Amino acid sequence: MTSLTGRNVRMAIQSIKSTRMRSFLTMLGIIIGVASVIMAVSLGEGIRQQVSGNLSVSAQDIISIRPGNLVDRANDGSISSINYGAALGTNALTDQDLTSLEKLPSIKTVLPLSTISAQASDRNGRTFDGTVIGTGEDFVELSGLKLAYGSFFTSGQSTSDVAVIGKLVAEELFQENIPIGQALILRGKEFMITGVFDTLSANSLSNTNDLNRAIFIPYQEAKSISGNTSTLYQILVKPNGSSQNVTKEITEILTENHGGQQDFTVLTQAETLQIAGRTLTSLTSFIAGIAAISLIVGGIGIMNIMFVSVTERTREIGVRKSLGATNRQIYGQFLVESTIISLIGGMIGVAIALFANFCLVVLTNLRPVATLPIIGLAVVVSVAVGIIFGTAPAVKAARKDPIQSLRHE
Amino acid sequence: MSNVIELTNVSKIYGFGNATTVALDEVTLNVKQGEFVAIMGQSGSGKSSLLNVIGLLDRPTHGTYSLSGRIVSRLRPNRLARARRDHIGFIFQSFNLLPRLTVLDNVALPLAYKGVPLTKRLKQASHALEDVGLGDREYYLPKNLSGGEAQRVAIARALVSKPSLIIADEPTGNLDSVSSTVVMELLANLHAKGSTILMVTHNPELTRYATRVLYMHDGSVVYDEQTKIGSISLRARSGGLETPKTDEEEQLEGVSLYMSAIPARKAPIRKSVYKKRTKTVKKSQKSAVKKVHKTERVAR
Repeated sequence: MTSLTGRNVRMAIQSIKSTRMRSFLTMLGIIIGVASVIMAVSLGEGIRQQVSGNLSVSAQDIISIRPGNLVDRANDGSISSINYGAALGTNALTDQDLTSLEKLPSIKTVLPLSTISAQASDRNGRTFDGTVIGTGEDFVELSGLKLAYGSFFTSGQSTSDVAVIGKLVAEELFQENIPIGQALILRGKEFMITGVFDTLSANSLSNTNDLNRAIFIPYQEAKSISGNTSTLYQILVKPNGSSQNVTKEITEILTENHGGQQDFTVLTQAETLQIAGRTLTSLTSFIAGIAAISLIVGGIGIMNIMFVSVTERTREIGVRKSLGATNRQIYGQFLVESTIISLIGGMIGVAIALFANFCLVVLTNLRPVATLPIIGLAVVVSVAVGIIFGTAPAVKAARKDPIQSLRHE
Repeated sequence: MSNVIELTNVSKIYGFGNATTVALDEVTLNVKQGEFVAIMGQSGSGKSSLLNVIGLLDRPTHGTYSLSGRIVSRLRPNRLARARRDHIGFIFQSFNLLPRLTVLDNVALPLAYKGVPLTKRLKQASHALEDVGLGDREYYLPKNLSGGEAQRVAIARALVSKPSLIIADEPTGNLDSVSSTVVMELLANLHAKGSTILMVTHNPELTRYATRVLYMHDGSVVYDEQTKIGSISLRARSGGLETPKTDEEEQLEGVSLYMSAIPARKAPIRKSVYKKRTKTVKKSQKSAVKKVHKTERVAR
């Protein structure tokens, strides 16, 4: 039986070789399916690793407060589920929260992060669409981000017209690397650039904004130029001692401020990471799920071609049966063939995904990570697709009547 | 000599109801080991059905078939396949070599299904090819062979697993006379070495090679003749394949019997004609009635 399996494999490869174009087109569904599943999963994995890497670089004991009730907590305080909808459109944090947090003795620093809508331009009238973030002087310390040139604004400059910009702003708006000392116009007011950030790979502080395109100005300035319409989207807090007790304290104070309503979320750094991880996992599995549909379509393609192949080779089946092949042996032959088509498709898919990942690493700042289990799983799934969708044609072949088959032209 | 084939009242019936076809009608036949049997008969006489049943490609509807002393008429498909693999070698009219396999692989195929290891089966296949004089064609593909060569490869394939019975279905049907002679000489050689051969043919000349000639008609063996090797069957010499004759009177009697069995019926009237007729009748009746009314009114 083993020698026959080996023979089946050789026969299958021979048969695939003799109909190269058709076999390749049959494999295409599997190739695309496997490649896209691997790429989706490895991109998700890559982003997860980048995020956790960033957070481990920055200080671990930072607490972030966000508007909206983002998470449900179990009795022991751990996150039980995430409310994705809550992150949208709520603006519950106020300046009053800031002042009451600053008064807490257990808190060392309070850092507001707000956005305003403003189009930046230079004196020549060139414009730039970026994010304008109003924040405090402790931003560099708390975010763990690094400046490439110049310096961040200091506590003495909280009402000065100064700005620190992301790298892309320097490159696209001023078209130079170090535009320090130049003027940036926001809502008709000129800001002097004092610093430029290094390239930021991923943004752990904001899920929506690309910090490479951000313009940072003092919090009070943001408020004044926007006429108090700036959106306070996050407050970062650095506690004096352990973050666990401080979290409780913050929650109590803010709940009091908000009239007993807990329409905000207090998250430690670890929890932020957990949420990012969970979000990525569900997003990745969603995309991978869509990509997996093409695997099913590929499987149907294989089934279709195998049915055609069985019909074309009816006479061959008849001859084999007359030479003593049992139904099981004929079944095995066709099943091996569909499995090998699918397996080869899967391996080509893996190769394409790895190549695409390599291209992404070279050409973009994404860092997809294709781990061995993912690749192994993809290959196993492609084999499974071959077996599942090859079964019906193989059964059809095995059940053919030898006499009728021998008469078939 | 023991019987290789023992058929007892074997019937094969296809279809059901009005569409029933009796392909084999209570055939009883014994073939001893070492016999070379030629089966002749017109197309539709049941030769192929007989070969299919004997070759274990088909099961009889009724009757018992024992092959080499083992009753095989009620085996399940997989057991049937195994019995076929172990006991029977097929030679077809159209060679039926697998086009994608080399000559050597084609010949080794029956051994593969037996589970013989690769090197061993290639060796045996190579020997079988040498036996049919094609040792130098091992790595050819079937499309590169002449018809005669292809049929010799098919013979090697039928021989390679040393079957107890070789079934040849018009082995020379697609060959020219020279190739036919070569193929038949090969079969004769096999027979001389003790093989049992069952061959269907339309060519009376080929009965020279047989030791026994069967004629089939309407699913029955109507004539069974032992012949000497080298002489054409008496039946073939006397005009060959005609059906058993009946005289004219018998035939007429048969026809009248048949006709009387059909119930008599009047010739049917065609519908359209019938309608026309009834229409004209109705019209004439109406006009007659009108005339009567008119005459009555006039009379008043």
